[in-house]
Amino acid sequence: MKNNTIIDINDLWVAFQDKVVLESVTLKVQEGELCGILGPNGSGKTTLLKTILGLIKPIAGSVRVFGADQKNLIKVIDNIGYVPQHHHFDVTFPIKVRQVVLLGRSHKIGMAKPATEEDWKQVYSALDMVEMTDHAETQFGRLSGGQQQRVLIARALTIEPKLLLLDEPTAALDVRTAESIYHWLHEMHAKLSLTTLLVSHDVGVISRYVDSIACLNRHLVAHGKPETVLSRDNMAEMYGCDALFFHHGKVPHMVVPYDDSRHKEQNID
Amino acid sequence: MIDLLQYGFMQRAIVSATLIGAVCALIGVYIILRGLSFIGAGIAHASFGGVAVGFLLNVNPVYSAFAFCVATAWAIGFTSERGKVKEETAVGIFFASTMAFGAFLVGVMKIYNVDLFSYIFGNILIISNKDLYLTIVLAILVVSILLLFQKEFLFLTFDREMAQVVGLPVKKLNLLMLFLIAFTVVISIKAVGIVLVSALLVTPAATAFQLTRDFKKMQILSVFFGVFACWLGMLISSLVDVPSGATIVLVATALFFIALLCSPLRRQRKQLHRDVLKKKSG
Repeated sequence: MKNNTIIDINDLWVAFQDKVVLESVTLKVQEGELCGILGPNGSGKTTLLKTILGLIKPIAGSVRVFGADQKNLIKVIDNIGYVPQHHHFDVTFPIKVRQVVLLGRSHKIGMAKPATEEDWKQVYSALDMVEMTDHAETQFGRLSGGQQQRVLIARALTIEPKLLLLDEPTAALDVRTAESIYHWLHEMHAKLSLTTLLVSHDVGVISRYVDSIACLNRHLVAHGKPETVLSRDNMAEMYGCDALFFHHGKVPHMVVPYDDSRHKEQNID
Repeated sequence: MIDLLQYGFMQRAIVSATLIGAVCALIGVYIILRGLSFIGAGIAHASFGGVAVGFLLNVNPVYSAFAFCVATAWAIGFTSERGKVKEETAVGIFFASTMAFGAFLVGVMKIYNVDLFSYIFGNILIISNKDLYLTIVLAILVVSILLLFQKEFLFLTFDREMAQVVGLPVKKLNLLMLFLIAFTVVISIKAVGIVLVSALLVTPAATAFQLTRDFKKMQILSVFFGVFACWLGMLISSLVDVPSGATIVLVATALFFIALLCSPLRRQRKQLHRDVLKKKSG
């Protein structure tokens, strides 16, 4: 990990209509870091990601990505790959897998310009990385949820980003598919040294694959290495209840609500 | 029929039918994929206010309808992009109010004449040279912009949020699309009429959608069905002396039902059901 700050969030406040969603969040993500953002439903994880992407304007504070503030984000947008939360696309939409991936390069290609040979080369290279080249000509809606997610990851990778933002990339996927995607992401991060921000509410997955964890529950509860951040106090503050920890190695593998103080920690090793 | 081709009005009608059929069908692909059928109807009905103003000020109603359609498209885009109301709500408001404004002017001026009805139900055989020139200019403009920004419009239609993330000016593109719909409506109202123009925007594309899930093929098929419906509708209209708009829309609808029945996608689904039942029983 290098010492360049890629994402610099300072005292960020974000509101939706009359409700404050993020309160005074300050977070720095360094170059090459694989940072997991952990928090319960409604903790502001997706909002934080969308604010970083310039989709939501904060009411106070600042967000800088590669040194650019929200107004100048367009200048660095070609360095940022984004994989949104799995949402249900119209399965009948007449678009092929290779076209979906090419759309990710729209800004690089330029407005009103056709894709060049180099663009298609990058598209196939990204499809190759997610092992979906064989499906290039398939209609996107005909793919399974896991395959669609891989294509969306390829769409983010096709611009050769320096920063990858993933919002619950395995939500709505079965355990096996989710595990393979996380494993693949971890390998990809190691191979490309991509600075990666991974949003999840699954503590078990996050703790196994990331360099650091940011615990969020409207405000930033803690940010640091998994073994230091995932303490009982932080978990209780983040989830708003007492918790029972199941350990698998140094860090908790699973956290469940528990009200009996006699069995606060268990090992399943 | 060959004799009819010697007449200027018939030649103008054929050129108009070809251009209108093609442009409506091409933009219709985006309209149905985005689920914006209501917008076409909304902007078309808004043109009624413009037509009435044209009669009042004694200017070509097509020009005043043009101004009304573009203004309505901008108003729909502006109010919905600002997040004040949903797009369909904005359409509902402007669609009804501009139509009401037109009806009010018609009532005040007592202009219940044949000309006005030709705008409501369309008559492709009374298209003038001036109308034809406007149709040619706007048709070239709409098709050129649609082809030029095909990649961007496809992205906007498929996944608007991601289009914004990768840096596309989605608000401007959305407004541009609304303007293109307005232009298309303007060149179509004389041929198919204010009431029926939305069918020409939706039906050929919906027909193509029954036959393919390939975007390029869908565009080509949609244009084919659009132009074919306009030609056949115009021919029937001239032979039996009925409004061209009605016959064009009825032909387009007939094509839709034929495509629905012959749809290979539907046949594939049925075959799959049969295979499953066979497997289950065997």
